[in-house]
Amino acid sequence: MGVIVFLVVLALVIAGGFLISFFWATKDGQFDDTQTPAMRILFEDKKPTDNVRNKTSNKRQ
Amino acid sequence: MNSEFVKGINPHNYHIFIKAEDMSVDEAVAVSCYHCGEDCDDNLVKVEDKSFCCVGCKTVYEILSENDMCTYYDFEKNNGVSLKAKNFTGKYDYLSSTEIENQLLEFKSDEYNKITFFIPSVHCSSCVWLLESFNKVLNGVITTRLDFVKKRLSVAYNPKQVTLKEVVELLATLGYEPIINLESTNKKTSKIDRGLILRLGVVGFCFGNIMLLSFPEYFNLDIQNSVDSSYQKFFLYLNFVLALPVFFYGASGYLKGAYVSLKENLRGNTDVLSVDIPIMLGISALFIRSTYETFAHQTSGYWDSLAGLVFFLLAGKYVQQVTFKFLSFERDYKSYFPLAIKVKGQGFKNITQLAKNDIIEIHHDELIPADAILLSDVAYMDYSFVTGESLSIKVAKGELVYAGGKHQGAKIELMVEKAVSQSYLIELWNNDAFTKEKELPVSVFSKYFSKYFTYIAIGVAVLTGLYWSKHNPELVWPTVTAVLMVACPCALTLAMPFVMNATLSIFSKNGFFPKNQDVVQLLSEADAIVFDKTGTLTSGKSQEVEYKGDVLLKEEQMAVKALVGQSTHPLSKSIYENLNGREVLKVEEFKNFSGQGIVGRVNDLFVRLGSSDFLKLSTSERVSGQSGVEINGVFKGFFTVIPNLRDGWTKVLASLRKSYHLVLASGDNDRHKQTFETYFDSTHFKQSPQDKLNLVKSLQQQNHKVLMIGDGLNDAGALKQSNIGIALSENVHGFSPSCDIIMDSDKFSKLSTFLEFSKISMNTVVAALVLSIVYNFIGVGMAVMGLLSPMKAAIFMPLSSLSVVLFGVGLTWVRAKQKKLV
Repeated sequence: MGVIVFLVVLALVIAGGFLISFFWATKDGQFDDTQTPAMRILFEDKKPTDNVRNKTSNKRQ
Repeated sequence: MNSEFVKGINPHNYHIFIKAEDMSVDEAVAVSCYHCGEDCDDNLVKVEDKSFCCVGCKTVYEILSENDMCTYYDFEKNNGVSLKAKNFTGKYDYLSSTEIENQLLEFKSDEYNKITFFIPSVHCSSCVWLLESFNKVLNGVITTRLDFVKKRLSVAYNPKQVTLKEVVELLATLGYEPIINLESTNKKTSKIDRGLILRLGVVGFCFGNIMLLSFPEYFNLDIQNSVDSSYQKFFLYLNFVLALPVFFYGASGYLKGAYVSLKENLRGNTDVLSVDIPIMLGISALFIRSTYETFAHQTSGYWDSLAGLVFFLLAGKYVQQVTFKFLSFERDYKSYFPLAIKVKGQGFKNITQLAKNDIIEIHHDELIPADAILLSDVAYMDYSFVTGESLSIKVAKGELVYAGGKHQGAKIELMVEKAVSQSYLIELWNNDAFTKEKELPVSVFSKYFSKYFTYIAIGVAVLTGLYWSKHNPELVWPTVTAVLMVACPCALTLAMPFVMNATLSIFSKNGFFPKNQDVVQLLSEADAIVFDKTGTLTSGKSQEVEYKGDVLLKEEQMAVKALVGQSTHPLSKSIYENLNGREVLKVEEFKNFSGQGIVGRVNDLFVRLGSSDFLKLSTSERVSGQSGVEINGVFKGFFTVIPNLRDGWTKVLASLRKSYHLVLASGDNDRHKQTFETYFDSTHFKQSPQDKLNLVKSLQQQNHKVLMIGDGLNDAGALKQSNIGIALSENVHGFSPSCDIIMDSDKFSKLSTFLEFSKISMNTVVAALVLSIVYNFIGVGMAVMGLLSPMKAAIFMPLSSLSVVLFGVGLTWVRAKQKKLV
């Protein structure tokens, strides 16, 4: 008996945690824009070529 | 000599339509621009091995390659924004004024300023990449973040390193010109309502868990087993706890709605019973009955049915709210007007602060912000935007120029006569039509069912109670509550949102964007249509010019083109755009006789272009209002602007005429009256914006439900007054006046199909309603006989809702396919 009760309550608590994180994400605006992040994730950061490296190092001097 | 020869072989008058395809001057195969993909015709620019169509595109490439950002071109091919004919010099000077800057910034401090721009030219993933890497291009920009759907870019920059003007100018140079207008100063961002999505989350969570905890019961696992039955009790109480947020949080909207509707009814303010009332009865019956079962008998209640019901109801509500967020339906004149203007001796001023006697400068293609007096010698005003009149009007020194006109030609000076808010054009916005909200349609459900439905449900419940109180008093309580539970019009309320949602998505695939679901119903009820002419029946794109007279040789055409290229008169520009030829010929001895005509010599051809008076034509050759051509002293023929009518407009009107009362309201003069008269029940020309509004009003007084179709600011009043306003737009993301539906102007030929489909959708809703009524009858039948066990309810109620939704949505798509909309 005790085992099941414990497990059910535990399961609810864990699921409740996710519910709270859902609240957090929603209030944070996570679901306001669902399209741009999908595009953003595909961008790669290219290593700067010599051209730019020189330019930035010039700036520092 | 040449001209004589041509005349010899073409003795009679000859008609040619001058179109781009007809007279192309042979040249090498066009190369497309590396940046924007347009043909490089006029002035090809080459850098390394890449070709560009204009200096603007080349500049963007150079900026990007200098910063090692050519990845931009890797995402999609030729993805840039064309920069042809764009010049930003001086356009953003007003942004250096601190006062203007403060009106635009969302946050301001010494080292951190934040601003959000609306950039309509955002169109692909490259745009996202470039705009979000903007800090690599411009020093001083801290971060940029783009919302692709809303096309809004928020920029944080350090004002010590870079100014707002520099940021905007570079954005514009790259082809991402932000729209800055009077409306931009309105910074209060509407708070997004996330209540529904949160409710949906909570109810979904509870629904899932309650279902899970009810499963043992479905399979009767508790029989004769003391251990299992004690689990059962535990699950029951747990279900009760989980159902509390469902009832008090998830369904609170319905409980409140029902309370408000009941109160209004008792006070006699309305005789419509809101749908919320039967829903509230059902939900409350479920909750009370289940609580009673749980605590009094420790037997299973209807918790799963309750949670499922509320979940489906909220899902329907969510679907109902889905609209096209990237479109703006609520625009007023503020969206059209520039934010600031240079006032002589006072620097830049927000145009709302313009005062009488301020002297302002207006450049080519700029909007006049306030009624003003012309100080320069002559100006050509294009009022098509305000009045619908397609020809420009010549204004002489000292005459009044109205706000909303677009200036064509060299820079002019004006003295402000009235403040912006008192301008002739703006006064339209003070009309009642703009202050009162449009009447919402009575939802189909409330109209046909709601009232009777509620009474019948209560009546059946009472009769059932009376019947069982005589025959088996123990069954009174269970049957009465069961009747109320099962009569809850869940499926009924779901049918409309889901069918309408499908309809909206079908419409949007076809470039037709209704504001919300109610609009579709209004659309189906319309019985009269008022059309605007300029920009609606005719295309807003460059005007077509018809030439009538003796045929012009190639050299002669090019000479005429070179000559009109020197003039800023609108007709000259139309002629210029319609004559083909890429070579730029030199014009000598050019003279401009303001308001009469132009003369000049191109090679050995002496060309004179102008009115009949100017060319001193004999009476037999005269045609008024057109521009004649004379080459080497010989009269050739006339150029006339012809209305550039949309494809298939006659078909659309002919098919609409069968079931609608059609009216034409044009701000233009009636020179094309005959063209249109036969297609309409009545035509009205020279209509001011106020006249159009009144016309719509008078039709409404004749009990017509009026649909107004227009495009410009001059239709704004009529669009607002009408029962339903459709704004036609070349670019749906661009600006359109306040309206209920935005329609892509290329899709004009499908207008009658759209109207027909709105009726089909409403019929589908009714069909789905009938189906759900059938379900209700079966359910109530079971309940009356006392056969509705919790498990049967848990299966029957969601099943009926789901099947009604699937039926409605499926039928909508099938019908759309038949109408070739998908």
